[in-house]
Amino acid sequence: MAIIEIEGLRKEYRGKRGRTTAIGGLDLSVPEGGVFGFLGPNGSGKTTTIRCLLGLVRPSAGTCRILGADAQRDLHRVIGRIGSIVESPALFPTLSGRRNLSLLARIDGIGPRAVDTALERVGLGERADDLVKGYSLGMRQRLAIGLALLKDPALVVLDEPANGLDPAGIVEVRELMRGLAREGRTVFVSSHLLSEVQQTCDRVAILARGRAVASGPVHEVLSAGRGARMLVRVGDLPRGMDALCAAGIPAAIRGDAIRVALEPSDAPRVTRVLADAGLYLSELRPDDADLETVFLELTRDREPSIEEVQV
Amino acid sequence: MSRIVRVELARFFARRAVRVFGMLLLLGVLLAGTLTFVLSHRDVEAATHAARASAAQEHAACEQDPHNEGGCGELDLSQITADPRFHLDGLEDVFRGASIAFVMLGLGLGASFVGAEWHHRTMTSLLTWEPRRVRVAAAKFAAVGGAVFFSVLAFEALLGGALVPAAVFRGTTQGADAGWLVQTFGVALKGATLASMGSMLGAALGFVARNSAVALGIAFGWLAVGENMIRNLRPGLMRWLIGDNAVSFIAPSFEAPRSAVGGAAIVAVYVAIAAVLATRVFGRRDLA
Repeated sequence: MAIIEIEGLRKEYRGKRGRTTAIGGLDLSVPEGGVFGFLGPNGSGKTTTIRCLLGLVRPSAGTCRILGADAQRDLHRVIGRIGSIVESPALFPTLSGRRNLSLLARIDGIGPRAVDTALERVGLGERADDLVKGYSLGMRQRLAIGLALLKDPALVVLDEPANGLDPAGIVEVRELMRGLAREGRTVFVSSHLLSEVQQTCDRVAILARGRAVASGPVHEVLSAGRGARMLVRVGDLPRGMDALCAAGIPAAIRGDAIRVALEPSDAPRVTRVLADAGLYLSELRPDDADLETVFLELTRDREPSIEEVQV
Repeated sequence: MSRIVRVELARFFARRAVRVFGMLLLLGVLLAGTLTFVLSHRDVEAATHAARASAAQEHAACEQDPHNEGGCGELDLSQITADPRFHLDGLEDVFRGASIAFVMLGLGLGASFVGAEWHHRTMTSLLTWEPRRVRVAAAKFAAVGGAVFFSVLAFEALLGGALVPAAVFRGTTQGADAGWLVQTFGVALKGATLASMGSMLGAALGFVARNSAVALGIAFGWLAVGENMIRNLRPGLMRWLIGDNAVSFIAPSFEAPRSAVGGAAIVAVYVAIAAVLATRVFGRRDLA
């Protein structure tokens, strides 16, 4: 079952320089459970999509369904099961962290114990009574995450949750997201930290110019359109190349390794050919692209898929 | 709905501006009570004597002035009296005068209550907890209106309480009977109602302007400049102005353009129109 369904979502803004299309016909389906990464370069429409999902922005066209409810009409029916952060944390600076959380918690009848638990979970238990204006950006981000977790949500929507966090904080957020997924929740996270997404997410969608250019399980997105490949390292590269070519295996030298155009399941064949030639492997692994490479390939040098109308 | 109103009330009273103004008002009440107590006394004879001596001195100086060609008139000292006592039955006028300050304060607090939500972008956080914007707006209007109404009543009660010792021990409670009590309470209620309506008008402007300063600029610009211009250029339209109707409500007189009820009704209609328009704008606006 899809926990988020977006069909033909379109959002145009009118500005001084005419109309600008932020989202140009986005289709997206996020299944229940796991961590779903929502990637895209700046201005690709990630935050606008999240705002449409949370009823903060009215789409120009298309529909958004979240937990089965229409985001524009019935969001109130399911909002109690959605925890979210939209962009940077928006909190009252002259109130304490605890007060900020408890004021909003009261809307859903959430008591002080849950507030304490959320604060402890994001590591702010000891600073909970300090004014937010004295918090660092990372602490504010943690507080916002705590706010998102207050409702014991089935779906957690996080917009750039690692913003402002130090490396240790980033690791904590990563573990937190995985932990939430293990608890059976769905985490929908937008981020530009591609290595984080690759380590954390089960599925991803890549957004470019307001449209999803790739979507699916991370390994499928990584291998999409690239064909099967393995990387082989041996002591003598030319001899290795000769042996592989003589055995009819398509191969090419790339840097200090040989790239072999075979499925990883064909690895025994490669090892046998090289061993027969008296060459012993120092490394043999699938040649997966990292998310950054795929992301750049998918989002760079594409023809504009949506129009920016200047009126 | 009652839960979100309670939350909005808590948010209102948690605001620093509200606390600061609350403290300042308490200080003002304390100061007013102390000063009135010190300045009030019952020696009417001495005060009258001093007033007559002062008047005689002024009259003598006038007669001795060689440049005074208009004359100084007759001085009848028996007509000059002074009453330095604080009269408890004058509390009504104190409340009437304080109402103007309460209305201005209500307007400012209402505008900043909503304007600050935009400034700190906490409106976004709020809407991720309660996405029904009409309810959010209604809760904010109810909270700010209710909070200002009861706070003003409380401060008026404190002010009255702070002035009572001056009247009892160093002034007079003459005329302070049951009828006076009802009338004074009525004036206090009117002041609280007007301040409450002012706060809702401020909140409505805050929803539209999305900025406390701009909302206050619009409000005070209209009341101080816009309405004055209309008063001078089109006196016939005075009976439709917010300021004149507010005065009709709080201090009805023969010169007032309407009755107290009529004035209150006109101001209430304006506030209701502003609230409905603000809710509509808020409901359609993107929070980008």
